[in-house]
Formats: sequence, C-alpha cells, structure tokens
Amino acid sequence: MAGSAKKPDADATADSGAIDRRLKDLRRKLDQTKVQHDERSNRPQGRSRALGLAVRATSELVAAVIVGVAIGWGLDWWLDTSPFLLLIFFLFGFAAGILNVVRAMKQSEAELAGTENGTKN
Amino acid sequence: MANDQAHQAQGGMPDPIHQFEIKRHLDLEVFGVDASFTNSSLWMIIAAVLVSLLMIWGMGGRALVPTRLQSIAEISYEFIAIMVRDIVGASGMKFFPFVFTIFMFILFMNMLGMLPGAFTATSSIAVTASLALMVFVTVIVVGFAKNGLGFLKLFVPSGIPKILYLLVVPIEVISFLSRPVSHSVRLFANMLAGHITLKVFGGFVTMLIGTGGTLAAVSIFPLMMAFALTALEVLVAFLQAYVFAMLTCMYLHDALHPGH
Repeated sequence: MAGSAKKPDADATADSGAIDRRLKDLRRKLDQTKVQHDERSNRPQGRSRALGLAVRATSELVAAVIVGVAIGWGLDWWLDTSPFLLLIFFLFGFAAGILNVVRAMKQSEAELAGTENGTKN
Repeated sequence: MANDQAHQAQGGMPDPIHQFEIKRHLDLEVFGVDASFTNSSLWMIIAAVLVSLLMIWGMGGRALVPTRLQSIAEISYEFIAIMVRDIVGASGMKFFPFVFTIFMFILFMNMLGMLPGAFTATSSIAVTASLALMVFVTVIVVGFAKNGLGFLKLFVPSGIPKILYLLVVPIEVISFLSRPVSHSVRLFANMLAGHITLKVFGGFVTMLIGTGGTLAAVSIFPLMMAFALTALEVLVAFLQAYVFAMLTCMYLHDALHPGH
C-alpha cells in the first residue's frame, strides 16, 4: 500500500519537472522567433527610409532651383530686365533648395529618434 | 505584345520608352478639351476599383478574427492613421480620408504597374502633377480658412532683423512653391526611371539570346539583374506612395499650424 502510494507522487514531481522544462523550452523558442521577427521587420524599414531620404533630398534641391529660375525668367520676360532677375532668383532658388534639404533632414532625424524611443518602450 | 515584337524586329533592342505610350481607347472631347479615355485612364480606374473592392469587401465581414483581406484593410488603415496622427496631429484626423485615398490610389497604381503588360499611370507627369496640385490647393485653402492671413506667417519666420526679410521672404516663398514640383516629379521620375531600367535589362536578355552561341549563355547576368531590379521596384513602388502620403501630411500640418 505504502509503496503504491509513493509511486504516483514521484510521477507527479517528474511530470511537473517535465512540464516546467517544456515550458522553458517553449518560452526560449518564442523569444527567439520574436527577436527574429523584429529584426526582419526592422531591417528593410531602415534601408527603405535611407533610400527615400536620398531621393527626397535631391528632388527638394532641384525643384527649388527650377522654381527659382522659372520665377526669375518670368519676371525678366515681363519687366524686360534680362538677365538680372534670373540670376538673383537662381540664387534665391538655390538657397530655398538648401533650406528644403535641411528641413527634410531635420524632420527625418526627429522621426528616427521617435521610432527608436518607440522600440525601446 | 505584337507591337513589342515589331520593335525588336526593327532595331534588335526593344524600345524602353514604348511602354509609356498613351493609347486612346475612346475619343472624347469635353468643351474643346481632349478628354479621351486612354490606357492611363483605364489603369487608374482599375486601381480605384481594386482599392474600393479591397476596403468594402475586406471590411464587409467585420469579424473579430479577421480574414486575410480584412487584415490587409485594417493594417493599411492603421498605417495611415498612425502617420496622420503623428505628423498632422489629432486635429488632423479629419484629413485622414484624403490622405488614405491618395496613399491607396498611388500604391495601387504603382503596384499594378509592376504587372507585365500593365500601364503605370504614375509614370506620367500629368497624373502625379494633378495629385500634387490637388494637395497644394487643399493646403492653401485649408491654411487660409483656418488661420486667415495668419497663414502668411509661414513665409515670415519670427525672431530675425527686419532687413533680413528682404532675403528670407523670397526664399520661403520659393521653398513653398517648390513643394508641388518636387512632390510630383519625385513620384513620376522614380516610376519612369525604374521601368526604363527594367526594360533595358530585359532587352539585353532578348538581344543576347537572339545572337546565339556563347553570348546567349551570358544572358543569365542581365536576367539576374532584372530579377533583382524587380524586387527593388516593388520596394520603390511602396516607398514612393508612402513618401507622397507622408509629405501630404507634413504640408497639411503646415496649413493647420503655420507658425512652425
């Protein structure tokens, strides 16, 4: 009787030990897949953001120069002051382009800082 | 397809610009303006219909455990909703439908353009410029409606000597006017350049195979390049739709809060 009572008890401890081990195993696997998933979802995002930024900076600069030249050329044509206003507005356009690029960079920097904080939390 | 083969027969290399040719399906004139139904219009309509179907059909079930379509619809909603809330602010959520429509429409036009034989509507400057001008006009109207003449503060930064206004105001005005230009040219140029590159590398493959012999074996290299470029183009297609929507949000933010 005493022997048979002991047996299920030992079985129970062995069972709970096995369950604990399996739980730990599962948790480890889950953590691993979570990390992998995070890396997978983060990496292309960073790359695509850099690519987008590069494309954005060039187009901002070029667009402002084009608009500046167009305004200068139009005013010259209207006021008959060729080529002075074209030159002045070309420089204005260039300055506006640089301003655009600086703003774009600042904005993306702020965005990057925001997402980094987001992932830490 | 028959047309492409004709081009190949003439010059050996398929014409990379040929894919952007606008073909009239239905001649139409409204008050003296040429409003023909073209292949570009056709693919825009397909994009609009697909977006509508995705949203209406996907959200039709409204299940707690979403189906695949519902997941796509919900993810795209959240993606744009978070972007609008972050950039424009909580008061900007009334512009969510506008931004979401623009994003989904451009995304679908770009992605449909990746299908063989499809026309990429966003590779015409007319389409992207119309979209950018729509955003530009919306920003001006909203800016003046919300802030009155205070919207002009956008051009007059505070805290600088008065003399410098002579320099800063023209620069700020040009910077503002350059927005629709860069907004539209970026999307158009990206789609155009990507599709031309793809076509050129595809053309190399057919040319090398056409010559036969050892050169035909070399054709594997441009094929690999075209394969890699296709993956890049899918990324660019998504990215450009994202950038367009994000900039729309930033401009709307300026319209609502012009004092920086």
